[in-house]
Amino acid sequence: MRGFVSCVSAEWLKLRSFTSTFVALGIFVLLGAGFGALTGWSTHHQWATLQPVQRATFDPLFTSLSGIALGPIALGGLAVGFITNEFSSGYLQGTLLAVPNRTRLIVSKIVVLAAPVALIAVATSYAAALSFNATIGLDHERVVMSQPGVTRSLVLTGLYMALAVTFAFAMGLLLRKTALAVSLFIGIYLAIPVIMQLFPWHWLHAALPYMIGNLGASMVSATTPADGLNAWVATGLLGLYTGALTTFGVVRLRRTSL
Amino acid sequence: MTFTPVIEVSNLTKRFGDLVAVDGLAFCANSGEVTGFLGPNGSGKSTTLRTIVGLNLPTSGTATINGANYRDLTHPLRSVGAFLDPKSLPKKLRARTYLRVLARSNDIATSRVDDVLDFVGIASVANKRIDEFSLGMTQRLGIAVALLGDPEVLIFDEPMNGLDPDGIRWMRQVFSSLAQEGRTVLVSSHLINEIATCAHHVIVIGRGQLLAQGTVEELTVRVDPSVTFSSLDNAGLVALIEDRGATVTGAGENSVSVSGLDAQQIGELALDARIALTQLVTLRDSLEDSYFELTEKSLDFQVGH
Ligand SMILES: Nc1ncnc2c1ncn2[C@@H]1O[C@H](COP(=O)(O)OP(=O)(O)OP(=O)(O)O)[C@@H](O)[C@H]1O
Ligand SMILES: [Mg+2]
Repeated sequence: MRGFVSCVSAEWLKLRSFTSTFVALGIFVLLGAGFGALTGWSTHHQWATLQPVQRATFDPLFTSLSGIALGPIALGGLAVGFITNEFSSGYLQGTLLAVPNRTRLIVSKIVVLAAPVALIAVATSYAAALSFNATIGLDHERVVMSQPGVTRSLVLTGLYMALAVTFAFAMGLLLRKTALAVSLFIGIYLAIPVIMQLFPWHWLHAALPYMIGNLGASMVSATTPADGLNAWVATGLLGLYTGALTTFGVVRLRRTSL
Repeated sequence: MTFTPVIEVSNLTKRFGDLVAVDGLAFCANSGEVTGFLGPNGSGKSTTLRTIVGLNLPTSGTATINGANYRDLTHPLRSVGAFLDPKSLPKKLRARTYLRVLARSNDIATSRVDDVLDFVGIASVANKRIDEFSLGMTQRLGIAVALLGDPEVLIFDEPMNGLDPDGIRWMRQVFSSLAQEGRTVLVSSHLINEIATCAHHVIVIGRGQLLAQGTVEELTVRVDPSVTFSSLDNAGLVALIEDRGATVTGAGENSVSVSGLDAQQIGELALDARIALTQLVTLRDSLEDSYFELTEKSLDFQVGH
């Protein structure tokens, strides 16, 4: 435990010392909160042109959080680089000399990465909802914080982003190459669901709700989406994927000569 | 001062696929001594050192420090300081930041950061990013990294690469004084003269196997010394010498070089045969010569002649 605490504190200092950390987090906050304001403003102006069915199913919270869907792209590079840079430039050696317990090292890195991302994502989702309310105007449906499920949504947004960056980190741990891991992560997150929809096969479409982005959408929305999973089931599944990938990465790292 | 084995490598083998990088290697490094670890390029020095500090897993055999595996140590920097590769430094961080990261990771007082920076003489540039460092500054930072936790055991892989003569002398003095304080210092090199003046004990490997070990003195005399003489009857004395099974290694205009007999034996032969000697000298091979002789057969990359 003593070793774990000092390792977390060291990795935290390291993460804070890279300028790119703040660039990635800044982009994430801007995108998240900015989309809140943008979607509010655009809804306000386009409400008149919306179909009746669109008005009936309008979900202000979900709309305000659309920027969150871009979160994994904004933060994926940061998460991947936090481990692949250690491999590619070789300073993992120095890190392992200080912390030879590789499980401890990887868990510490995930803690210092995922915990602040979770907190910042919750704050960003609040900011997104508030700026949505500010721009949509008084005569439209707004996000009501006291409504059932809204707080859960905002908290699960944080958890979703924490799991997403951990997933990206685990891909970096397994692939060791920054470019390869980033493109594969973005591929899994963005491209594969699109490709799946192109095929006319039912069973393939039935698998869509289990993809990372769709699991995230289930977690973020206050109500269960029509073709999606319950928020807690989605959380559990994403946790399972991430846990399995990370465990695989750690086991492999422990067995390699490096 | 007592010298106890601290780093113990026993029966160590490390394979990379078909390649046997370290082959049944065994040696010790004692406290209070600088142990020189020598071998030509590709002989397995780095592989051995990396195995001692847990970066490599041994294929078979063990490498322990005070009886423990490095990977099992909780705060290793406090007992073992190692600098094996300049690549192990994160180039985008400032030198001071990196030392602070390491101090935190092993619960070492932050004040040690400035202590070691002062000690190696790079305090004035410690706020630069490591990628702005010159080769010499990088090597000094490596020493600072190793000394950070005030460890009893120190391990360096070719630490003098790229240092100017001043830097080399400074580093030798550092190693000597660390050993004098009772620490265990293991230093690899492929140039024997680089560490001969500061190493108490030398281990020579080739193709992953132990070729020789001992003090610098012992290694120098291991190779047969050759004796050169001149006498009033060289031909007669040579005949007597060859009768005794020794070989003539060289003959000049007046002098003859012989190996297999020492100066005393040749003197006695000359006396018995009543041949007057005009010159009798033992030429001890230099350390470098004996090192070449030892490693010659195990060179992986020999230059064509
Ligand atoms: N990770 C690895 N994968 C495959 N082969 C390796 C690996 N590390 C070392 N080797 C091989 O093992 C052998 C020993 O290499 P090592 O680096 O230990 O030699 P060395 O004595 O340190 O040489 P040098 O003086 O050039 O530094 C070499 O043939 C090298 O190619
Ligand atoms: Mg080497």
